[in-house]
Amino acid sequence: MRALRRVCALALAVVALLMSLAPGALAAKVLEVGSSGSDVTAVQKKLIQWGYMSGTADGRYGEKTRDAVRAFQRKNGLSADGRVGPATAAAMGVTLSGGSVAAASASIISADHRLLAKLVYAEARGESYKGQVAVAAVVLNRVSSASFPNTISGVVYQAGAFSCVANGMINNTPDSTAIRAALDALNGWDPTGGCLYYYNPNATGDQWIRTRTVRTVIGNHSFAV
Amino acid sequence: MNTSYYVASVRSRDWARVLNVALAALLAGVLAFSMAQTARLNAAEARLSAVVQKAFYETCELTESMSVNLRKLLVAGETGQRQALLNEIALQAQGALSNLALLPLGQETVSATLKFINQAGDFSSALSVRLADGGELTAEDADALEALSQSAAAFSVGMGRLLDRYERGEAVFDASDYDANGGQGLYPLAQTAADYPVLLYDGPFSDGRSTGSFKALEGLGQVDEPAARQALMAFIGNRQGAEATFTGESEIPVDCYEYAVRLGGDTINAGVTKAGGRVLYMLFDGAAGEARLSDAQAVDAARAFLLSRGYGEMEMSYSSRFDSLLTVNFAAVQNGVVLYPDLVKVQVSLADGSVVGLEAANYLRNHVPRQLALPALTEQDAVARIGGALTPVSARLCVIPENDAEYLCWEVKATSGADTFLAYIDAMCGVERRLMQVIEGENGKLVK
Repeated sequence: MRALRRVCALALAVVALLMSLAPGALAAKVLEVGSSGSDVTAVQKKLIQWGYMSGTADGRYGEKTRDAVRAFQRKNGLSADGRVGPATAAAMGVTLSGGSVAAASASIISADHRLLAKLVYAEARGESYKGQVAVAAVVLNRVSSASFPNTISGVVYQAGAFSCVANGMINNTPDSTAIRAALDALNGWDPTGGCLYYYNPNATGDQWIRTRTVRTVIGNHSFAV
Repeated sequence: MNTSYYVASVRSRDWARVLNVALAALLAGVLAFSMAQTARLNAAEARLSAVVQKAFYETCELTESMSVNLRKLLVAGETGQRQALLNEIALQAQGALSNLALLPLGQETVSATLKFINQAGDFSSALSVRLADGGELTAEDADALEALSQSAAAFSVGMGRLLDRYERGEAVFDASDYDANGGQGLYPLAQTAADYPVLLYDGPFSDGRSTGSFKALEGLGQVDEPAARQALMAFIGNRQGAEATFTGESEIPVDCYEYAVRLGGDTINAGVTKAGGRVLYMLFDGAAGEARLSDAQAVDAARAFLLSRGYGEMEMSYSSRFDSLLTVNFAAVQNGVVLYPDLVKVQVSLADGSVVGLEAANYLRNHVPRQLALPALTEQDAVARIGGALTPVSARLCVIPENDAEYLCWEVKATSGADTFLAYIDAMCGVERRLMQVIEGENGKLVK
C-alpha cells in the first residue's frame, strides 16, 4: 500500500511537472456557462439538430446549453462536465476559433486599421464604445507626438508600451465594435482630446503614470497627457 | 496462512516492479520532453536577444553617424552637399527611432531620447526643404546644428558605454538597475532632452507647435451644465424620446461637459464646450440599420444639417462608408476660398439620413474670418507649375494648413491616366506645397 501511495504521489508530481512545462498546450479554448459568440452558436445548432435541446441558437451559453452538452457527452462516452473543450468540440464536428468572439462582417480597410482594431480589442474590449475609440485615439496621438515612434506599428509594438503585446492578447481576432472604433479614431474622432496615456487607476501598480495630468475619465480608464 | 501471506507479498512486489518500470519510462519521457522544451526556450530566447542586440548596435551606429553628419554640415561648402547630409540625417534618425523603440526599457525611459532623435531628424528635413526651395541656413540654424551635433555625440558615447556594460553581461535593461542609479545607469537614454536647445522650425515635431487654442471659442461666455445640455439636445434636433445623461467634465483639451444621449436602443456620446456651449464631438454607439439612402442623399442631408446648425455653406471634400454609416468631411468656405483647416466630419445614418456623429475639433480650433491676400499667381500660372505628367482639369483657391502656418494655394485637380491628383501650388510664391491622390473605392472617396 505504501509503495502504491508513493507511486501515486510521484505520478501526480509528474503530471504537475508536465502541466508546468506545457502551458500553451493545455490552455486550449473551452466553452462553458457564460461564454458567447459564434462558437457557441455553432455548438447550439448541432445540439438542436441532434435533438439534445430545443429553441434557437442564440449564441449564449446558459444552463440549457450546459444540460444539452452533458447529455451529448454522456451519450458519446465523454466525461459529462457540461463544458465544450477540444474533445467535445471534435466529437460534435465543431472547430473552436482562437478568439472568444469571431469577427463579424465589419470590413478592415488597411493594415494600420487592422492593427489598431486588434489593439483596441485586446486593451479595451470590456469598455464602452467611447472608451474603445479613446484607446485607439491615444495610439494615434502617440504617432504624432515627438516622444513616441512615428508609425502605428512602432507605437503598438514599442517595448513595454502595451501589456497586450507582452502577453499575446493582441493576437486575438477583433470584433466589429473594435473595428469600427479603430476606424472612427482614424477618421479623426478623439474623445480624449490629444491624450498620450491611459491607465486603470484601480489596477495599475505603475506609480510613474499616476503623476501624469488626467484630462478625462472614460469607463475604467483615466486618460492623461 | 503462511502461503497466502507469501502469495500476497509476491503479488505486491510484482506490482511494485511493474509500476517502477512504468514510472522509469514515464520519467525518461518527461526528461526528454523537458529537454526539448528547454532547447526550444533557449532558441527563442537567443532569437529575442539577437533582436535586442541588433537594435542596440544599430542605435549606436546610427546616432554616431548622425553626430558626424551634423558636424560635417557645419563645414560643408555647397548647398547640394548640405542637402544630401540633411537627408541622410533624417533617414538615420528614422532608423535610430525604430531601433530605440525595440530596446526593452519601457516607454517612459526612452521618451526623452525619442523626442531628441525625432526633432533632430525633423529639423534636418525642414532645413533640407528650405535649401531645396532656394533658402539658406541662418546663424541660428548653425547654432542649433552645433548643439544637436554635441548632444548626438554625447548620446552615442553614452550608448557605447551602455553597450559595453551590456556586452559584459550586466543587466542594463533591468528596471532595478535603472532605479538603483536614479536613472544615471541609463544616462544617455533618460536625460538627452535636458542639454539641447528648444527647436523652433517648420516641422511637425517643432517645440513651437501650439497645442491648446480654440480660436472659434475665444471671447464666448461660459455656459452652465443645463444650458450645455439644452444646446446639445437642440443640436441633435430635439428628437422624441431622446434622453441626455450628464456623465462628467473633461479637458479635451478645452473644458467640456460630457453627455450620453439615449436614443431608442442607441447611444450618442457627446462633449459640449463650456465656452459658448458648442458641440465638440458626437460619437455614435449603436447600429444604423439597413441602408436605404444613396451616398449622395446622405451628403445632402449632412450639408443641410450643418447649414441649419449655423455652420454656413461648406464644401464636401471626401466621404467613406462603413456598415450603414457615411462619414463626410466638410471644409468651411470664405468668399469661394475653401478653408481646409476648418474641417468638420459628419456621420450620417444611411438608414434614415439622421446625423449621428460629429467631429468639430479642427473647426473650433481654426474657424475665424481670414484676411485673405490677393493671389500673386493667376490660375494659369499655377496650372503651368504642376508636374509634366499631369493633365489639369480644374483649379480653385483654398487655404491649407502646414504645421502651424496656413498658406493660400491654388488647388489644381489633374489626372494622369486613370488616376486623379490634387496639386497645391502656393498662390504667393508658386511652390508646390502638397500633392494628394484622390482614391475612389467601393466605400467612398478619399484623398491620400
